[in-house]
Amino acid sequence: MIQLLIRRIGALFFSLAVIVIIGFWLTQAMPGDPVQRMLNTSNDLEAGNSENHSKKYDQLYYQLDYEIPNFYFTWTNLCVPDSFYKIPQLNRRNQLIALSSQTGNPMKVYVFKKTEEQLMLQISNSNKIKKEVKIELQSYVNRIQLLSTTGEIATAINNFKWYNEIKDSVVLACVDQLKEHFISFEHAKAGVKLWVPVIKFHSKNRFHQWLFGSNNLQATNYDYNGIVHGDLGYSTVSHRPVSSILQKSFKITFILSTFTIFIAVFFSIPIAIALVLYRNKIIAHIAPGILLFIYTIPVFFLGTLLLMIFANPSIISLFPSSGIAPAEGFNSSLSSWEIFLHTLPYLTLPLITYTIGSLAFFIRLMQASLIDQLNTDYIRTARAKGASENRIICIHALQNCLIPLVTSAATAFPAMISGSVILENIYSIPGMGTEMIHAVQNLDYPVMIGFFLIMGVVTISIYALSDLLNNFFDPRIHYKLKEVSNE
Amino acid sequence: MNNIWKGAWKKLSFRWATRFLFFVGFIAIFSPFIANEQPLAICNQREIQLPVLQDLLKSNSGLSSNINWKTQNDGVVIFSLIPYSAGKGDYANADYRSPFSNQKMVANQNEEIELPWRFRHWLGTDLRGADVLAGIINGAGISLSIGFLSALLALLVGLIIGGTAGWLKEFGLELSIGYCLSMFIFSFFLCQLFFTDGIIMNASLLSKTAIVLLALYTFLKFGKLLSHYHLFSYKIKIPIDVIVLRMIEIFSSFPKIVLILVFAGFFNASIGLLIFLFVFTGWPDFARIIRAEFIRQSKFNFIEAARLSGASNIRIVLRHILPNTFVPIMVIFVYAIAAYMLIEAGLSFLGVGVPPAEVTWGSLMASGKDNLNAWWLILFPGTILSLTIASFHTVAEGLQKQLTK
Repeated sequence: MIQLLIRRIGALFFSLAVIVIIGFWLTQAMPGDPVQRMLNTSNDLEAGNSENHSKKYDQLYYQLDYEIPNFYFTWTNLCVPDSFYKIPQLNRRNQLIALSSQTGNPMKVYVFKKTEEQLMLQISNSNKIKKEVKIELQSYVNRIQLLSTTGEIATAINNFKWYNEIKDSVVLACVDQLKEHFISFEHAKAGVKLWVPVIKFHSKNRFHQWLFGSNNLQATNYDYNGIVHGDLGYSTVSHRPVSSILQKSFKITFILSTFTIFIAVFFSIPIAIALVLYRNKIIAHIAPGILLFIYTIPVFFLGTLLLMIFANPSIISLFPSSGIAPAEGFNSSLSSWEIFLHTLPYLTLPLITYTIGSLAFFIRLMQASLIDQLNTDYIRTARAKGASENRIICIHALQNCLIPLVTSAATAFPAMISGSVILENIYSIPGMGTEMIHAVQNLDYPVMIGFFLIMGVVTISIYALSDLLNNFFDPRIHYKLKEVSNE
Repeated sequence: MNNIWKGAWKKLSFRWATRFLFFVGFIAIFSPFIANEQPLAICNQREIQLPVLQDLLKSNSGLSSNINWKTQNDGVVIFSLIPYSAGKGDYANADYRSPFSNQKMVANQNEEIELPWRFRHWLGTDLRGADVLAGIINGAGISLSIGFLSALLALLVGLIIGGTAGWLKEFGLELSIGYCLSMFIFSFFLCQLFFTDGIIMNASLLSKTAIVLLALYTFLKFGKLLSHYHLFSYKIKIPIDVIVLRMIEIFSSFPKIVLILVFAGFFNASIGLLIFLFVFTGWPDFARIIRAEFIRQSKFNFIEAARLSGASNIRIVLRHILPNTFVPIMVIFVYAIAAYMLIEAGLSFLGVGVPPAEVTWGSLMASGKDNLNAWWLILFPGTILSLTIASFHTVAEGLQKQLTK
């Protein structure tokens, strides 16, 4: 038991870690630049003033702690120092990495890039250069800034032809400097340096901050508490906190799923017993086919079919077609029982759709395990002592079938919640599934990640819990498991 | 295998389910020839053209699509069984035309005439006038190919991982310290190759694979060399089976539908991504059962006899174990196809998984949800889908019953 407990909890933590890492990876894989998005929402983007914009970008980049590494450790080689993370613009960083892994000399490459920027600044500040030449020069420097191999840069630098047009000595000196810096690393080769691994540990990293929050951000407007404390960020569409959105919708989905499972389990027991009791009658021969068909019928087919028949003004308009409450809300004088009665017509069709599939599943399960029990020794003993068939099945056999029913009901729960995505979409129930589909359609990434994390945690914990419960109620299962794993 | 099939074939439901599945499979494979708005063959006085075949072989048939072949009178024009393509609008019959209503057709003089029975929309049309039956036939191809391909790939992954675990559980994997050291250095090398930018950043996939394979070979030889020395020759047992079991445990407790939904939302919807996600979340089910089967099989005496007669490990696995595990694998394979088809239909019902341009059973039903009076949009694709899933389950259950007999 204790061995199983330790193993189960270990697996639980490992799965949680995998879920959390996938979630973090998704935050990194979000399309678009997060800093740029933040700049756009903070509405102080001044159009046309690119210099000011890039300054603000850099400022926000450091404020949001983007200069720190992503994970606890970085794995690089000697050519690429991990301090390159501190460079804000992604394309500049990638060029630096490409150039220094070719030449194996990051410092000189960095100085070269700095000189490029300086040259750009000198050109734009200089008064002695003609306007046309200035534009040509600027485009030339821009072109060099985009190149990422030494060969291309060498040809570009050799093609410099504006010596006679430039009268400004400061700019000329800068050009010479650029050439000098380039020659200093042009023919260097990275060689062995590429194969020397540099593994560094970072106690301060973005993953850690994402998990536990960061204190230094309190000074800025973008404070963040970490997902461990329930802060899942803000929705990019409605700008509300993700945790509050999910909390509200999770309640509805949870209540609906629990209801469904209780109804299904409640009704499946007598039906299964009846099917086993009358196992020689004609009904028991037809039932498996019907049950199979009900079990395999897709939820969305059944849902739309019911909606089409019973909530359609041109056929039968018996139930409202969407929502879980009247649009105008409830009268405040109603008691809670009356409110329940009023919501019942809204819940009827979803509950029927949802229950039927799981009902068939539970009936099949119960029936199979009851028939399994009928061949055991203790049933034969009960028969021998003269117990009636009713008593044998309802008292002796049923007791041993309830355990697998309960544990499979527990494992059905997460499947119910993820299956509710489709059901809620059909009946427009404002639950978790609807929020999720809205998020997917509007590309609301933080909500998607929050949904993923919460569903992951719920699913993994319920699986672990049901396994442990199973073992607790029925110790034979443990030995069976042991046999299987030792086989 | 033959006995099991014969035993299962005796059952009426199994027979009809299998026949129905073969029928759906036939439709899926030949869907472009069954439902296509281009004619199958055009015979003029001068030449014979095969537009559908030409379309399949190259992207452009050279035929103008502006010509309405349905109203052409010169020469012989042979149409496919359903003379409409999936998703192509027919504006004379737009706005949800029921199967029983009057259907119109635009003749050459731009006047609307009654549609001849040959060109009727037998199962009605949707908002844009696209034929529902053509959509169902096209959807059969997409649905079955996604289900079949992803089940096949998941089976392969499960077979490799589960089979290795099951086989090595029985006969053990012992490696000398030299090999372990060499493999450790190899994994270090791989990390250096792929985690750090720069080394082979610009190399193509082929050369990358070549580098990795070459390195693997070198390190294997190096390990063999090392294990000759006394210091590195001590053998240690590697618990591959335990590692695989834990991996299966972890992977099968993931929320699969949510994972698929989030990934389909994050990245561009495509059939390849869907298949990848099905394989990624589905292999543990295969691996678990295949591992158990391998363990069960490797305990039989004939395996021992084969080992005694000098058969190699690979020969025993391929010739003695795999044929015996074929039926159990077949059963989960059939179940998996049904499950993947169901998830795919659900996702395209939500408009998430498959690209919106493709017409599938799920997307047909989704268009039916917008107009609940168009019962033919919900009933026909839904019935076909449920029948297919139920048939898969019947076949799997029939085979399984023969196994436990």
